[in-house]
Amino acid sequence: MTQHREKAPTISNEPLPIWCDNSGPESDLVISTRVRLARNLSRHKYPHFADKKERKEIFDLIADIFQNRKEFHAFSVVNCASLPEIDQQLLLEERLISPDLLKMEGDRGVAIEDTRHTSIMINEEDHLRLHSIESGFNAEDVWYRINLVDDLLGHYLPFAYEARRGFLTSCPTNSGTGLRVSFLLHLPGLVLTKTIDSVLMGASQMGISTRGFFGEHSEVIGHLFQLSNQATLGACEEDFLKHTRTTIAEVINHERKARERILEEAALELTDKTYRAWGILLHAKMLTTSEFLNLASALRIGIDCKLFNELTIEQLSRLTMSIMPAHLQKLYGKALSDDELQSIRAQTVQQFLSTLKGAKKTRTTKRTVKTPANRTKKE
Amino acid sequence: MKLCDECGINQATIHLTQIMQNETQVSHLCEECARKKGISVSINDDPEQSQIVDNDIKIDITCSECGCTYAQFRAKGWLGCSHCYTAFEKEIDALLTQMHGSTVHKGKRYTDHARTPQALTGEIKRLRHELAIAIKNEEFEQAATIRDAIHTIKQMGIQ
Repeated sequence: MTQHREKAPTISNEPLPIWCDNSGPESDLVISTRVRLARNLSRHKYPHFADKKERKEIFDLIADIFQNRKEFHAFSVVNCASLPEIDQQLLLEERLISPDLLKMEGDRGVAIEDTRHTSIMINEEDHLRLHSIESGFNAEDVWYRINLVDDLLGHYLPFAYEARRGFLTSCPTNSGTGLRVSFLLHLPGLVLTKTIDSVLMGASQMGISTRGFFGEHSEVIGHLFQLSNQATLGACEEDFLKHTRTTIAEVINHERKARERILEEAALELTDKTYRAWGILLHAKMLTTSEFLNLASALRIGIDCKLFNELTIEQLSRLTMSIMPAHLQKLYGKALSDDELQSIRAQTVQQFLSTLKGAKKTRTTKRTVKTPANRTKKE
Repeated sequence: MKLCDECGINQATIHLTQIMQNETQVSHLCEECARKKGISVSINDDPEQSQIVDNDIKIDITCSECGCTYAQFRAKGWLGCSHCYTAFEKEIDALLTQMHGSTVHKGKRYTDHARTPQALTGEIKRLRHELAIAIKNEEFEQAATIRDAIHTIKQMGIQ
């Protein structure tokens, strides 16, 4: 294939999605905390069994609440049925919707709050999937927010609920509280020290399941693991949150210890790994998303361990978001084939990184001029 | 919805497939007539073995509200509607115990009077009071959490 010689797009300065802005507690390890509640309407068939007409009825009923009740003035509703595919993928990459929502047919979509903390999927596996997300290790704030939205929605919509079995869901794995709290963790230390399997096994025995970046059935890339509670019935929401939080804190502890061990025993190897990743990113002519994420993971641990300072975590997060397939195509302004995407991705990365290098050099020069020794010399 | 082949009155919720000398016979029965014919309506929970009772007789239960059968649920993993929980009660409870170690909800209670906008106005007042106390006691971390909570409620358009 021929190399694309058109100008690579410039990365925008728009604010990063809340969940990857690294502003939360322990966000060097815990990228984000998300809490989800599954809810259904009592008098309707669940989305997989409802026909097209009924799904439309359900969608309109729920959308009406978001569009016409003043408590939900900060939400806007998107119907995926009439949304171009590229925009559907953008929502997916921003983690406002799930891959399963896109697999459904007919009227299905999402109500998105303007701060993008909270999004409510309509007609996914359940009629309503309430999500709220925050950067870092922060389950309490996220739960507070989603619980509030749930109360208000429950005021207007008749939820499927039984006193004994709680909130009823399409799949009994979510019945009861319908609550799933998931933490997106960056765990390269455990992978490099080959202790990841035993730590995740331990977590699994404590009722914590592991998934990939995009949730259920997705693979683990860039050492990013999504850990969440398995059971949703038999305890109250606060207890599920507390239990999951405690187990995740253990995992975080193991990761920190693994990093300490690497720094004591193999700091040079880790530095080498980081700089090799940097080298590939600076010179590769084609990059897939997974390859980028794996290389970005090596940069991230290098930055976290203060072995590498060519770019900041904030810049890395911005670059990561921009090179995801839909974001890149949006930036480029047209649909691209897989090969074109890989080529444009490599060019975009290089352009961004070389600007940083240029900026860094300028800064360094300025600093040299400002040193007292230099001033004395001039004087 | 099909009526029972035997009595012709009740809804058929049990679908019986009999294989005799390589010929398949399908009959639709209500639970009462199925019992009269001596067919056990309990269901084996293993999806591979599902619904095979004995002598090549397969039975299935159907939810009278949405038409979802237990076999469909076991094959796909999704129930059809909230009534399925009643239609497949025994089987679902066995699954819930297996998945969650419990069949009893201990979380949030849902009533038709879930937190209303009015109740939230009251909550803002309560939080403001707590905020004042936290500031007075110099518990600034706690104060910041309360302030965020007030902000969250206000974002919902409630003053």
